Amino acid sequence: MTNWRQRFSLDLRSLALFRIALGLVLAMDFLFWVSDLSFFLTERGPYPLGAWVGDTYQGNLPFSLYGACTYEVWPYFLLAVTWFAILSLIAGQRLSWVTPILWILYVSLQNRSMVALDSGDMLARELLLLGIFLPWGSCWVWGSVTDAGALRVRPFWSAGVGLYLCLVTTHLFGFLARVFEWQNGDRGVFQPERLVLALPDGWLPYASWIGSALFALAAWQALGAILLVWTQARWRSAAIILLTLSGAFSAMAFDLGIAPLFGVVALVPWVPADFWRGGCGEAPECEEPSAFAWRTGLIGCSVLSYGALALLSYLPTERWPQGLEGWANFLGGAPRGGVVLPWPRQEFYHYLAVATDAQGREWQVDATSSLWEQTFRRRVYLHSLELKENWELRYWMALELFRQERRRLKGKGPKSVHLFQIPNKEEDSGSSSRRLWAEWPMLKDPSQR
Amino acid sequence: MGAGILGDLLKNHGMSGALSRKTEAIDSLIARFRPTFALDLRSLAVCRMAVGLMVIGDLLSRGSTFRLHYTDLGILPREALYTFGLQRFPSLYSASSWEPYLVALFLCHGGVALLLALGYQTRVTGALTWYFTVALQGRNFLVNNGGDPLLASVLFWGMFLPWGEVFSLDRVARRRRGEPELKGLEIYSGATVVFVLQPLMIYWVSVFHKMEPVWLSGDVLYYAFQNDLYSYPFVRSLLPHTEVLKFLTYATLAWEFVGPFFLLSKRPRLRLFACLVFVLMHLNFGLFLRLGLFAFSPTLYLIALLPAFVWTGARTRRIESFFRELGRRTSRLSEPRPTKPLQLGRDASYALCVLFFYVVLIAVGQDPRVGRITPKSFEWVAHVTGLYQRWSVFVNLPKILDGWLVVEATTADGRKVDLFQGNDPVDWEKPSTPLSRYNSFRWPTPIVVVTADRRLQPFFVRALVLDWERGHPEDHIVKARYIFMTESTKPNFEATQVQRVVHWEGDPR
Repeated sequence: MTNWRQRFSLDLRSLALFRIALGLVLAMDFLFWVSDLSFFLTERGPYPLGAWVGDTYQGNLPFSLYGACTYEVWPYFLLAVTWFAILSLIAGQRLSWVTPILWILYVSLQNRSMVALDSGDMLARELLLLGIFLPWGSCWVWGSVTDAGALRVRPFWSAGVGLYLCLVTTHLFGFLARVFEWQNGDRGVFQPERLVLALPDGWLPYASWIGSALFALAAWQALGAILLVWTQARWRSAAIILLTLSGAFSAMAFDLGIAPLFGVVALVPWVPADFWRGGCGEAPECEEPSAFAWRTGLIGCSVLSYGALALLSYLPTERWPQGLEGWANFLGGAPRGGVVLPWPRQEFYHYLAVATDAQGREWQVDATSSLWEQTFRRRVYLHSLELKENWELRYWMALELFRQERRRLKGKGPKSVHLFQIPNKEEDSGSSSRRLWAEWPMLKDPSQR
Repeated sequence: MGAGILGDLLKNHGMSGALSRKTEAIDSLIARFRPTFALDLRSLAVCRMAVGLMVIGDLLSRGSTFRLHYTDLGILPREALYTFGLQRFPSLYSASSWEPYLVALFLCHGGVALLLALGYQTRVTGALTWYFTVALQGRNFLVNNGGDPLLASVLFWGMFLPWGEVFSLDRVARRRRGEPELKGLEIYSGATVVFVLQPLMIYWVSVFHKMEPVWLSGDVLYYAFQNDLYSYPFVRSLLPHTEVLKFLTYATLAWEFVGPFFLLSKRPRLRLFACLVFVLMHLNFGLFLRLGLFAFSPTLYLIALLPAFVWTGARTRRIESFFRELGRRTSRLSEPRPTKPLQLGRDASYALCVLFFYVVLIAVGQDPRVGRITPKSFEWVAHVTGLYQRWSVFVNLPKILDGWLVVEATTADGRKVDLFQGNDPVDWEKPSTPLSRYNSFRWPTPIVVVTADRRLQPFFVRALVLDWERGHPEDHIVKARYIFMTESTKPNFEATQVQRVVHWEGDPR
């Protein structure tokens, strides 16, 4: 048992660094959200609350404070509170209530735009949740001097096991998903046929090799996550460095947004105590856990852990225990294990918006600034709409363009707006297979398409 | 007490001489009104207990229609709230529609209301009870009636009153710790002024709205008792007694105008008499009409207005000993944290009075003869405080929707059933009560609003379809129609024709 405690106990300075790093990445993520504010969070964009609740209506009933009110200032108010909570987290101020509040606010923010989320977002909320049960404000707190004596112990908190589960489920189950996809004949984004669309022309002959290399990378990430609990500092450090490098490579190869950064932040608590020897003299001793640490940590891990739910997300939902599914949906849907659905940097499609007036005249609408301006989350959103075949949400996009055009032409705008999807590669080769992707008003029965 | 911000401003501008004269004048004016607007702490405490219990009772009553009224499977799903921009209060009840979450909120709501009734951490639990109550009312505004804004207003103004100073666990803990208490048993502040004026405003504004032909002709009860949605069937037996009904109409109108003056009386017995008459009046309203909470919630203000002499003798000692005993038994579980007694400063009192004046303007502006007085851009203040009030109750009665609702649905096997009245097959005859399947005072108002608003009808029908299919798993509804059987009341007992008006029809999904 002592050996296991040694493996899972975390150094207080590593935890404090983890808190600060998480706060900084959350701050960066927050700025990304703010840049997409009008798109995802307000009633004026293509994803108003009506679209959100309509999208999640059938069974998924997530919790979001953004749905509490339709006043225009409400999302701005919540974002302001979120920002101050992030700053407080970085500074280590009033963590006992700032962390749970920030977790609720972040879950709310993400649940408001579930179609634009990826695994990095899921990891972020897992880390925040477990942070509630961790003593990550023991040192490096703004305005207070760290007690060097207190750092000579290395407490074992059961929430540390939760942090480990987070990493393992993220990487291991991501890899397993790849394996299952492969077995089922669908090699996902790693299959050379899809890579062909994404790679620059000169790289095409190596598509098969690149696909295999990426598969090996996913395997290494899974193995590396398991080996993080090595007690020898040098091996643990090596695992952290290699996982960081592979995360960086994934980020370069795929458009993963901010997800790799969250992956790297999740490694920080595992920085071995020996790393801090220069600052504090000697490696601290592992301390016996207090009853409180056990209790709170277990609550965090066993009741709320997304890590456990991630295991279940690979089962068909009808086999889930009832209630657990509701709980998962409430907190934002079943988490996806692993970096699921990364897509190559180059887009497969582009979109064309055409407006028509009462006389039948057609003109192209410039939708670059409003819809598919290339921010990471908007691309995720477009892909989600593609995968979900969600006509309602597409309808809202066309409606947004319609409104925009009406505003631009001061009321003399179009009668209808049609959105077309055009494959990039086919267009290059001269053939055009554009298809009607969304329209306003919706003239056809979507089920007939 | 200082002269507040205004006083400081005058002082800074070298007007301290004028200031002292003004301050004296204001102080003397304020002192003159003390006997009228001061409230007894024990009356306030009993009012607090009644508020807590009423919130719990209200929750139990709302719980019976929980799924149909507060979830996305109900008559007002969040989709409708959001699409039509109707969610004006930041409500946790709208943050999710997952049933266990909503049940947990209901339990929290009831829990804080119970703690408020017991006077445990009164300021915190009072604020939380206010929040949860307004949040719940905001989640489905369709089912609110006059009693709801009234309850919300009691809770809001109550946050600024020291209604946990006596008959409370807070007091027991404070005494045990030897902490300071308020001197005397009387409280006088801006909050008490507003608390006294609020019921008066309701009656007077209501009388103002009632200065219309139906009330002035004395026929209001004739129309009210024939309104199928709002009256109980047995009251029709009173209709032949026309003179009695006219007398009751005029008596109500006169008392609603004159009675408030008695409530302002400095004579305790006269005030008590007025309180009792008003309580009886409201209970009578509730006896004849489906008013639900509205028959009881005005009583809350009247309890707070009870004069001090009511609380002398053994009654008070019994309540105090109850709380002492409760405090002794619960002290091991959780002791209330020490807090200072709430004493409102003069600036805060002024602010409350200004807010109340704004509420009065909103209430008066509801009358079409007056029109909106307050700027629309400030309306959010009333919504966010839960103080948006409208007291045009039972005004212009002949134009209020009268009749019964039929939601005719066609099942997959071709049967036609009535989802609202619960008839299988549909029965077009007038039912003995228009609320035979869903028998709650929370149904008439949604029917009136939804019948007038085509946007809400598909949601209403869909909720009933889902509810029917839950109760009849063998049925699958393929088509539904929202039909209102209008039976308007004509003057002088003229015969009326029932009109079948189809408001909406289609696939309910």
